[in-house]
Amino acid sequence: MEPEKYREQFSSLEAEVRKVIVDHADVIRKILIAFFSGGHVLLEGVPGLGKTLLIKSLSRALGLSFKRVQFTPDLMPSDITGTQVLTESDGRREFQFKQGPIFAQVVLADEINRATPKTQSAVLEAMEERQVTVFGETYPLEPPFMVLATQNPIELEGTYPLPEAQLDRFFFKLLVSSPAPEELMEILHRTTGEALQGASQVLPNNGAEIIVEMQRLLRQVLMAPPLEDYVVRLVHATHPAAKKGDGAVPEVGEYLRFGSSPRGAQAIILGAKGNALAEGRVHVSYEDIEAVIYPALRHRLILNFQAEAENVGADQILAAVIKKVPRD
Amino acid sequence: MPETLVVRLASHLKRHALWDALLWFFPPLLVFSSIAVFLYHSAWVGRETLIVVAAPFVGLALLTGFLRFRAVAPLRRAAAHLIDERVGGKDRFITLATIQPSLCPPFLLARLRREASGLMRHLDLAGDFPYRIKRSFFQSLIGSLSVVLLFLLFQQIGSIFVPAPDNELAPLAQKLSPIPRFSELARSLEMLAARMRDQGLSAAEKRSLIREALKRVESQLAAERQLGGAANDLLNQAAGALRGMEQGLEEGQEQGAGGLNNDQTGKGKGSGKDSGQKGSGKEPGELSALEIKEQKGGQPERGERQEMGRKQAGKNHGGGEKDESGKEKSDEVKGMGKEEAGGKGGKRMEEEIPRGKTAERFLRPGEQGEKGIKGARFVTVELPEEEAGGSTGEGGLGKRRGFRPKVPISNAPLRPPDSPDAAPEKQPLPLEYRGLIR
Repeated sequence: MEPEKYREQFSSLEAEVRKVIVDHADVIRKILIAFFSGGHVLLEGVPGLGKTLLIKSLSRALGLSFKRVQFTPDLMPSDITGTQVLTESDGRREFQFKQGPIFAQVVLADEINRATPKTQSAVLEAMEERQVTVFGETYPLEPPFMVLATQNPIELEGTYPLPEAQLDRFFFKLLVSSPAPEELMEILHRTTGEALQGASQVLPNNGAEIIVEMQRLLRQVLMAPPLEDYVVRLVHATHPAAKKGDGAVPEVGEYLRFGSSPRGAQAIILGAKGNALAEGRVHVSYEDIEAVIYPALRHRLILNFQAEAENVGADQILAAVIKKVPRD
Repeated sequence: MPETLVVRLASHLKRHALWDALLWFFPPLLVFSSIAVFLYHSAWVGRETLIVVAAPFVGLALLTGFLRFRAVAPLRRAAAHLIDERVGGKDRFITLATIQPSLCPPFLLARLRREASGLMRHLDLAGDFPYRIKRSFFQSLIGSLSVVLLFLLFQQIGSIFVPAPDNELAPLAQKLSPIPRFSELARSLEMLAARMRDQGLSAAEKRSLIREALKRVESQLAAERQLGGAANDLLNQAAGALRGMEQGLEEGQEQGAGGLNNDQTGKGKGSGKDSGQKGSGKEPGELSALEIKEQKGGQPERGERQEMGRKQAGKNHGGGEKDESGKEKSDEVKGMGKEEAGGKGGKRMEEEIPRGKTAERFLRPGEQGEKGIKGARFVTVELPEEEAGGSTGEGGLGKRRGFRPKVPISNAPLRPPDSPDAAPEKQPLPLEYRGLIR
């Protein structure tokens, strides 16, 4: 695929989703970047901000199969993955695998932190391996596959916060903020009128093939060794154990228990490549790296008690890291 | 090709870095060379010392300059980064300069090159990256100028606190000039004093000038002795000052250290050394103004006697303080000159009262005087045998032993030295105390 074609498709998808979703341009772009990078996204925001609508619109624009799973404490893993059911045909009874909602190409795991860890971990294999194992049989998931999970940051009673291992499997963690007054006005106009216009399909019916091609192109984007080195230094700087002269940041030592995993560096590089293509470039720049470092690393930094007590967030620490680590 | 542009810019900037390193390195080198040449020329340091000091310095400076050049010389990567910044390349040039083409999809690389080529049309290497003198050069310049100023300042301070020998010479020349028969000599001494301040003259040249002047003064002195003229003191002072200057130059050249000015240092060193070694800041042939007076035939005046006593004490106590001793000497000489000028009444009295001929010189401590030496004075003291035998030279010995000494007989009239029962011990006694014993 040509870079121009990629950008054209990307812009069309972006524009289509923005027809439905007011504001959140950055969130929409990052979700698309994560999608074409082959990653999964965790959306965090209070209820009513249009997270679910955003994901539904996106899947519709992409022309991919979409399933939504509302995570509740009584949700069982088989409710997600599917299970063997006894069927009868031509007088013969046999067990047949009934696919769960995870077998869609775009899966919305709504309020993922409300399900038990057992159920949450059922999604884990699907996200990482892109396959599901039920009763000893493995079923591959149809590409492209993406999990978009949401979680509510305020209602923490009766929730099961995602363990670090599972958080690490999300490519980006995006924060959905409340709309500004003008944007709220626009939301009201769109949603309280005669009819709510949904997103239309942008990609043709063989959209999956196009998406796979776009994903392949994204990985071919040129990245200079000094920029790769910069990413390595950034990720290394998030480790509290990093030595003083090794690009260590004081805030990291003070507020972090653990730094980013190598998946964080992978997410930065792929995200930067996706950002470059979205900008119409075939090479990564420093700006691309800095544009994706927050969503790529904020859920991979494990804060310590002092950070919680002083209300210091991962974004503040990342800002310090970007400031302290030199580009060259 | 964008990659070629990056290489060209890198070499362009390397030339700038080379200039920066040279400019940074030049002022201190110039200052060091100037100071070294100055010190060598004014015979402060010898050729060997100069080479020993200069070779490591120049080597170190070259090494530092090279390391600085290496530190500031931009790599291709830095050059590409600069182009990106200049043309808004969004890291296109740095990507092209550093990426390995064989690992890249050709169609993407071709597209990146096309984009970069489009941008590089706006770039003019000489115009967009002109050479500018860096701050490091100004810092180096300021530092070097500070060193020069400090050097000059120390030199000035040195010249304030350490009087130059020509400072003695010039007043002497002024004193000599009113006397018609010495006017020619005074003029030559004034010229010499002026030439001694000339930094361009080498030590050898200065020495030869001093020797010439000294010959002239000595010949004049000999003529005056024959005539019995009264201006011998001034001539002797001039001769002493010239000898001191010559000796100072020799010492300064030999030692290569000890002061700021060759002449000044030479003086200080020379006098100090003498005083340390011999207890007197003079060469055997050199005489102080006081001695010159004595030699001339007069008793030293009261003030001069006191001053001489102080001088003796100072010499005994501070034999090791070379520079101070040297300075002291020059001060004394000056003081004498002042007395000479101001105390004319005393001088007249001295001329009126006839005095015996002065001793040519005193015996120095430890020196055995020969019998019949001209002007030598001895006092023969006879001690009782008990005292002489038990004495260790320590005070209070007799008291400890319970020994009651007999009535001292040292003040008893002395036996004539040539009599058979003359005392074997002989104690040289300064002339000043002769009257007391009598």
